[in-house]
Amino acid sequence: MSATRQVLRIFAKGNVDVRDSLMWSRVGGVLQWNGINEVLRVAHPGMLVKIRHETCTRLDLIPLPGEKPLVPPAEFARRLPSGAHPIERQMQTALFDAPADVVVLSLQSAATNPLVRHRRDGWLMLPDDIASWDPESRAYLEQECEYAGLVPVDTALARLEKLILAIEERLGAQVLVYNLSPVTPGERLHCWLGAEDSLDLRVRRFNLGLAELSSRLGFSIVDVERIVACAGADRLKVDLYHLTAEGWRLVAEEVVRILEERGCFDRGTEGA
Amino acid sequence: MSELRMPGLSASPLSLRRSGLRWLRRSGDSVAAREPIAVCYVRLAGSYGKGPPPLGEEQNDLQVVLAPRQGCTIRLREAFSKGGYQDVVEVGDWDEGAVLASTEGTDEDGQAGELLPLVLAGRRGFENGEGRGALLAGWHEKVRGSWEGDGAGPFGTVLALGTCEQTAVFRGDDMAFLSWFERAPGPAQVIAVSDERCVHSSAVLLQHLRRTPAEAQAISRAVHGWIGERIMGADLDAFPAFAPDAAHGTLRGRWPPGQDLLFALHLMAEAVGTSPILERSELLTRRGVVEAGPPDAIALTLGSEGAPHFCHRETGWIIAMHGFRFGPFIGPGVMEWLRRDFDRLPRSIADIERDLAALSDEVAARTGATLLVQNLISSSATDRISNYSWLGDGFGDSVPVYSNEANLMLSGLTRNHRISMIDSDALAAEFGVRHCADRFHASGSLLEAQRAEYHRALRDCRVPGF
Repeated sequence: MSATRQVLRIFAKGNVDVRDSLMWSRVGGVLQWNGINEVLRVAHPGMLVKIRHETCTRLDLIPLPGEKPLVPPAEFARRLPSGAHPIERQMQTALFDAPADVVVLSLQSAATNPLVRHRRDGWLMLPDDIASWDPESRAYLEQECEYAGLVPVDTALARLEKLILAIEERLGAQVLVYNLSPVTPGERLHCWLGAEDSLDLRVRRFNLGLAELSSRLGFSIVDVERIVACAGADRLKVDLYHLTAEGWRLVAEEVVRILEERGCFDRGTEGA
Repeated sequence: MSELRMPGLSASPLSLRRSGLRWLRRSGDSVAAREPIAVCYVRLAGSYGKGPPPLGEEQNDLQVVLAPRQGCTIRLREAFSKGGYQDVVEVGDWDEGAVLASTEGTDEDGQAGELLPLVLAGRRGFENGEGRGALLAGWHEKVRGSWEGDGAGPFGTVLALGTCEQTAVFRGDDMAFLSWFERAPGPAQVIAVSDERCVHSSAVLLQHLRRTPAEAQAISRAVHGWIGERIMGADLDAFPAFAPDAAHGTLRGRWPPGQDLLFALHLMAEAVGTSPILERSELLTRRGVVEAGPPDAIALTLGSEGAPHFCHRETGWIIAMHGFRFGPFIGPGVMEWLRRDFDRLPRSIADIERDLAALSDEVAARTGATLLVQNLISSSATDRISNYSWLGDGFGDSVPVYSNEANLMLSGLTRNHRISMIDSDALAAEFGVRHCADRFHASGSLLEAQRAEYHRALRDCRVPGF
């Protein structure tokens, strides 16, 4: 006989940070961390989180309800490898298709993902894991597309504002956004001449802009920067994107703490 | 076995006198290269006809620390230490070449020989205030350590003007620059100026650099006027030590207003004295006393910029003091003076940016020095904010927001000015902010990492001797 457990529905739109902290983290096929429900089993035994996860090509390109973004044609998508971000689905989302209690987003894609733009038609695309592409695919991409780079910080945050407002209006869901830790262990700069666009500075600007946005809109920030700083990047960070299992656990615990603070565990959505 | 000899040091044409040696290690100890084994006080003696004698302001707290050039096990010649006050006051001439210890084992490369001297000099806050004993013991407004090492070029000098976080980085646990002596080959000098009287923010330093004699005179008049008021206006209640109830014993030992007056005098003395940024140095070397120019690099911290600033209404004199000093360190009289004669000077991050940029340009034009500015640690275990809307109007003043904005501002300044940023924030995040829980007072390991980063920046800026 199983006890009835209340379910919290989370729609997680993000990449490695969101997935590895909330769902699972595997290294070399070995499970390192088993997701947020590990935390809930101890802290809220009567609760279960169900997660729908979607990768995120770039935060500013998530279509809002009613928007029909330019997308790469199917023929193009078929000719190229697509990795974790299938080309035909890069500009799509199921975010607004079903109810959710909580939507989790992340700054990672906006801060770090450079795109290419089709020379003739203007649609954008993420050439995911391009280092592993064969020469033929790379040549085709180069022929068809040009480098479009990273999104300006202000543009991304303005778009994020619209997205959060739309989520709150359409879904009535709580919004949590992950920031990023700008620290790369061992990397040291004392003069930023010529390094205006360094990832470190870009992440700091994003984090600061996110705090300002939170102050106006009231959504919650999962402060990955602080979590990493408190325990030490040397201990928690594998690289810019990946944390150790301990790091993902600490992030998941912070998500649970915020959900508690938001009263999300006071109202279960459905029985299970 | 090889002998460890007293190094050559000269104050010619004056003679150099020294106290007995105070051993810092014992016979049989293994010591690392440049690890001090002994210290003594020294004094320049004799007649010096032309103007004030060299090192005149530091004569009372001048010490020489001695260390082997390479790691060894030492056997001390105990007679060099007289013990007691004989190791504090002068007992004889500087005896270059005297063998004061020997090493066990062979000196394969013949490098043991002459000990390396580190010269420590302290300029007292109050010249008559004796506090001799340990390394750089006593309260000094300015302390410095210099060493020729094995180098032959000009001395490179770094001046630390920051708050306690930099005192720890530059003076170190020993308060005597030993960690810099150990790492920088020399000839090098590290100077630290205390911030107990006035915090060295960019606004304070810039105004000091640009001060005119007339402005200095106006400040001294304003301070003298206030002190005169305090003394002349004191009524009988101001002297509780002599009240009837104190006639047969009292705990009221100190005259309370005295602290206010002394503080004001010290504040004034700093404002009308030479800016440490422009001050040249006299250095005791084997070639005699040599003069070095103003510092090549000046270490500051953004932590200084956030200290409360006050502007004297009549003279425009800007001072800055740490908030924690009010009450336990700075008495009610000074606080009353600040309320009556000063305006609080709020400073935005844009103001700090403007002042730091102007200070950098002014310093570059006058001495060519580089500013090394330590940024703020933005994360702490206690400031956990997930929803910034709950802060309301306090958003901009919250620690993470203020610190990050200030740090971004500083990294921007490094692109257009002679400023290098010491990324204390990244180091704390790398080690974990438990190493600096209050964001200012770091653990030994984090301090060592910060020190290494300063050292790297000094080398990148091509400051000689580092």
